[in-house]
Amino acid sequence: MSLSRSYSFILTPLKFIAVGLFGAFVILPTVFIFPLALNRTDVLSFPPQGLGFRHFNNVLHSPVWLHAFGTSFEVAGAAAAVATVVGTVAALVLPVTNRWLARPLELAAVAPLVIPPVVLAIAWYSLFSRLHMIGSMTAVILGLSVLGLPIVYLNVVAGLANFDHDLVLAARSLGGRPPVVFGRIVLPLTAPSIIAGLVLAFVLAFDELIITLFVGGGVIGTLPVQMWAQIGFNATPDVAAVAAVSVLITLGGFALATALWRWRSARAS
Amino acid sequence: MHEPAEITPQAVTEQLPAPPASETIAEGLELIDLTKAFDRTHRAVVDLNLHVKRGEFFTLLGPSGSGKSTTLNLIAGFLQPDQGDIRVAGRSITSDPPERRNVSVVFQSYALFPHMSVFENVAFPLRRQRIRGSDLRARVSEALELVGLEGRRSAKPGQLSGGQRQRAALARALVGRPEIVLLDEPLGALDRRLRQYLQEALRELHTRVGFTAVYVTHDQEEALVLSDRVGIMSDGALVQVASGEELYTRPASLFVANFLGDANVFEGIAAAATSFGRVDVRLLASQSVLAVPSPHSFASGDRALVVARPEHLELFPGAASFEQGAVAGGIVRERMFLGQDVVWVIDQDAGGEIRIRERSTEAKSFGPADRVFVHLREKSIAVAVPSDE
Repeated sequence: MSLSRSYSFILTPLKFIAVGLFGAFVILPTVFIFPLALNRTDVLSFPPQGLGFRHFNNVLHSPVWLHAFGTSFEVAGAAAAVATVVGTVAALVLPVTNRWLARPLELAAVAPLVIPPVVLAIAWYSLFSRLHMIGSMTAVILGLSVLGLPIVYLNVVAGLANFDHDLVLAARSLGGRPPVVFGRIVLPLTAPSIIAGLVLAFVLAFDELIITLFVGGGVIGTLPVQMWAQIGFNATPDVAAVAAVSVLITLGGFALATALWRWRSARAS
Repeated sequence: MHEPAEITPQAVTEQLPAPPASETIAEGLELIDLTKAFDRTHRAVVDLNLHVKRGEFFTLLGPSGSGKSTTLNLIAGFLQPDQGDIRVAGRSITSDPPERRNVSVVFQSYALFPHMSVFENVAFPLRRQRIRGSDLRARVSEALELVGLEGRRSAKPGQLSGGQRQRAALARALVGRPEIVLLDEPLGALDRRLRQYLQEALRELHTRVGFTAVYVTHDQEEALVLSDRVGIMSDGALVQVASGEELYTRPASLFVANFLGDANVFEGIAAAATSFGRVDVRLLASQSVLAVPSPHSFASGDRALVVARPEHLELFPGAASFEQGAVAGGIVRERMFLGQDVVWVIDQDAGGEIRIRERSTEAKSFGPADRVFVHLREKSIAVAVPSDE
């Protein structure tokens, strides 16, 4: 508080520059998709020639796009579920594991954050081609779950950091066996972190293209894969409408995660 | 040094495996030769023996690091002892996990489950005992009434004040009718006034319900207010176990005397061997001889320390007349008015300081730089302890 006040003469202009840059590079392109999607003409053009929902309507009545939406929800949902189970177990178990075992595993859990997606994609490709699994749903789901793992792991670790260990001891001394203590105390109190991790892992998998392209072998047509194919073939405003919907889904996911973080800090007190 | 803790390991040998909660078998909590080390150099609890009677309010009092919290964690089952045995109602619980010990804990941090209402918190131990329905509701209501929280049953812990949280934690610890309730500095996080209020409430609750309590604190006043008996801990061992009054008026060592209240210490030599619990001590500074009670036996010529509380001494004007039994002479350094009492700090002629306390309504008017001498008010209220060297 006092720091920000004493440096306000520097911070205030910096703040405006930062907000301006953020707006220009991050928000603007995202916002830009909406006028494109609402365009009434049949070609991608800017500024739009009149506004309307006809491209959204087209998408809603296109079996190809609807199928892609379905595939995406299925793949992202399953990948997020796998990431959540593995990430939560890791976050609960690694802190009480022998550190010679725990340290490398912790590193492995967060590594996908810094490994370029292409590298991950190639690695998965070579593994799954050996197992003859390229083009299977299982391969895509496993490939994408690795992407969500660090997010879930870090979320649950952060949630456990302000978890009062005395609660476990109190519950034990009041007659709670370990499974009961886990189910009634530990799990409910870390639930906001776990669900936030699940939502973010879902969003990550939902938007992913590269790994899905490699491991899916062009057979698994998620939304990004379908859009990628469509843009190369014939870029219509229908693609922009699909993009607009997926942007909304992503933003909704982030809003949900933020709400869950608030809930978590409200619960901690 | 002999210490009067009741150790009765043989009292439990002839029992049959009786059902728990039976009222007829060996009583209370027994700690037998309990030892716990955290590493090779530091032993937190060393050969601890203690018998807490059923229904007794027992306090472990000691400076931080003396092993009192470790002892509590051993009883609760959060730590495993290296040696020794813990028995509750005659049954060894040393190898039982915490949930099977029937020993509940009240923490300084309250440790209320933040996602459950006060009602659900208090119901938690009952649900573990498979108590359901109207039975459950009646027991929870009874416990909440006991601590005066009946009106806040649906509140979440986050909506309660500090004092209310601790009372909720107390209700939760008592509701399952545990054999032992352990309290780990439960009032430590509260302000002074609230602490005093809750001390009295806790005392009253204990009188009414009669649970067996082991209370840990480093606050001597709290220990005196609450406890039937107090065990003073130092370096992992119990150095004296007795009622608060006994500890204060008859400390068995200089450590106990200093830890529980202020103590003035006068060095001396035993003029004769102990007889009938009394010893004649010739004080080095004044050469006056005092007959003082002592739990220890001295031989003639042994070094002895006479310990006197500030309120056990009396001030007189002028130079010391040691022939008439004065203990020391000196000059007033400070006079402090504390409301109820007045405290003087005297610089002794023989070196060192003396603290004297008098009721302010009867206090004499000595001020700084006045020459005074000091008498024992009554010879029987001092105590002789062995010198540490």
